Amino acid sequence: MSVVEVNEQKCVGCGICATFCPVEALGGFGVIKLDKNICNECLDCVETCPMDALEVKP
Amino acid sequence: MKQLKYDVAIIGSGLGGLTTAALLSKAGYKVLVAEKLPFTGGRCATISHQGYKLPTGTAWVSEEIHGSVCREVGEDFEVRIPQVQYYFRIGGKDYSAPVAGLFNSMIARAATDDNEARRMYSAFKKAVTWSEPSRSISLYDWLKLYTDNPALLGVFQIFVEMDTALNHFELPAGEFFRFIKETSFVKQMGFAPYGGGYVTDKLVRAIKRLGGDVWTRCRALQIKTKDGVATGVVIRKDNEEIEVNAQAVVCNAHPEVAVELASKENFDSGCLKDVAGLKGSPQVIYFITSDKPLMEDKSMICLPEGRRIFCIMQYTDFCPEMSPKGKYLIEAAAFVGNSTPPYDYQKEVGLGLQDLRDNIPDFDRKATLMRINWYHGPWGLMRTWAGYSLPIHSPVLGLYLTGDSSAPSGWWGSSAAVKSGRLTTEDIIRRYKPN
Repeated sequence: MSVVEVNEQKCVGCGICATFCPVEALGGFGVIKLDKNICNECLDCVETCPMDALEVKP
Repeated sequence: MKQLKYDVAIIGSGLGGLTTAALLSKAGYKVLVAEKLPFTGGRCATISHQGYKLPTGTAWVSEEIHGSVCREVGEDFEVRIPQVQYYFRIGGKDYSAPVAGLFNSMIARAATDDNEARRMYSAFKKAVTWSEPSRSISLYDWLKLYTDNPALLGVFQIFVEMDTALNHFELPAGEFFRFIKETSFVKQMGFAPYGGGYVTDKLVRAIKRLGGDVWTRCRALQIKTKDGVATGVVIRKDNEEIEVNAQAVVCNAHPEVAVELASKENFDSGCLKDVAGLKGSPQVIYFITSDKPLMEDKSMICLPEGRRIFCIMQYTDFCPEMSPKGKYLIEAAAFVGNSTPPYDYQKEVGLGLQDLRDNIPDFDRKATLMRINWYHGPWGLMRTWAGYSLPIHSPVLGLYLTGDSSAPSGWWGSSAAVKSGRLTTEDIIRRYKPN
């Protein structure tokens, strides 16, 4: 299971994380949903989120 | 801590920050732009995804505003102007509208009869050439003085949505006409060849060529102040904290970030209230791909009678570099029923999809919905509702709040970002000399 969590309070659904995700683990609209079974923990989404809404929760 | 010295430190590489950085570099100032993300441009960037180029925000630019900055700093510029810029679908029929005399033409098409068209046209002319309507009423309230015609109201809704990401009932009427007057010098409007990133990439190139630095993955941790004066920025780059000393600091990140980084105590209660009161204007963008053109003979169509979608643009027709060979990229832009959150995401998208199915033949069979992106809050399509901007000067001496939420009345979106950057540059040149 992925260590990445979407902070729903911060996420605005801009989708930038989803366009960077190499395994298409991020989708949905409004608030982004992360499929933890697909996520490869590359953390590209954490780095590319303008709202700092993707957080690493070890 | 490692120490560095620049004339001006700029936090954030959005269009406002890069405009400031490029113009200051041209004027001989040594600038550093610190961007926390791995890419530059903010809401005026372009991201590659599955071979497509997707704008993070605007792709709509003008020669006179965006082009003039690029040219001033030694870059070339191109704006792609579709041959017929606007098609309006009213009552199932499509009408073309020329750019020159656009409003007259739209009013004529949407009006139920000549009398209504004349009444509307003369009210419009009076508002532009004589007295602006009050800012205490909305544009919708003002329009309702002259018409109840949904098509006519819809035509204005499209223009308000395109330029402000607000509904006509949310925009102060006076602000709309101020915009018309302020930007009347803009004649060549169209699309940047591969989205907003086309403009910001050029500005980054110019800054570097002129001796400035643009660092990505470089987060600002603190704005240093002494006795109410900004003295620099602490940044983290490659896991190292660096103190950047500067004569002036420009915060192109959201003003809330400036407050956080420079410490609340340095801001008076009025300014804190203004910053907290900034409301991002929402919009929903649908990126659609297809193997075939979804709109055979029109590249861009406006929908005054749409439930939510107000404009569909087949980018590939005028910007082929935005899609892989043989593929098509289409963007549909939708307003949100009410710009004040909370939003009913399911309802909004449901209405948007209905519009797409109604207006693109065989949508479900021919099109693939790649992404539905939302803009709102601090990442609104615009950082503030039109008519509610902040000044560029913060209460901290030498700290500028630059970006689309700090521009004069009548300036919105990416044009406001450029204007804000220009005003910041002029002010810095007046007050500080390069070392």
